[in-house]
Amino acid sequence: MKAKEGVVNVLNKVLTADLTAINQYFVHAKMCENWGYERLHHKVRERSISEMKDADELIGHILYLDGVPNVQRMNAVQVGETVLEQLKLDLKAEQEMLTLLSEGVVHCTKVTDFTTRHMLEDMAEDVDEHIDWIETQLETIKQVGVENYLAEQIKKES
Amino acid sequence: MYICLCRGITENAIKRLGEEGVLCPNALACELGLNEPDCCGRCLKNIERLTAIAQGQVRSVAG
Repeated sequence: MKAKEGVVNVLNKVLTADLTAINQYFVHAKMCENWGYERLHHKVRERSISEMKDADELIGHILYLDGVPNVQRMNAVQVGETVLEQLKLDLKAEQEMLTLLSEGVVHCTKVTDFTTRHMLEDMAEDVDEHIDWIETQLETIKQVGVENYLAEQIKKES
Repeated sequence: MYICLCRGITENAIKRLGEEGVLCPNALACELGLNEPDCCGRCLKNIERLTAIAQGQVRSVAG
């Protein structure tokens, strides 16, 4: 199917952010595993895999629209040295992703591509949830202190 | 945070270099090995930002 004007471009931009996020979350997850923070490792790894599923959907949709998925382009992967830094950098990445998705939704509405718009809206919902999760972690850290928070991350969530 | 993943250079490492008196772009590039041929060159392009970190002019990138 032929894409409406600018839609493939929008999808490729989201794909770039997505491919960057996959790597960022994956390395954060592995660092958490290395530090022994099992709960965080699982949470962040899950997030990385869900970004990969988004990339799967994006690439499929770009091809469906007769576009070329740009899997070569990536933004700078922002790796934190500590759990707190990782959370803050992941929050920043998710907020940027949300901006991108919102712009995409507006663009798709303008050119009346409602299928793509729907897809981006679903992704935005996921991002919203993740932002909320990170904000909760940051608030917990503020209340109980980073050491207490980290002590709780050593065990797996049942 | 990690400023350079090729060489594993952290923001804190740059700050420490700054505290040790490595404050000019050339000295920093030399100390961090950014002039080596196997470097991707992104850090050298952003050397002004790295210098600002060494001079303590930037709040943590991670906020």
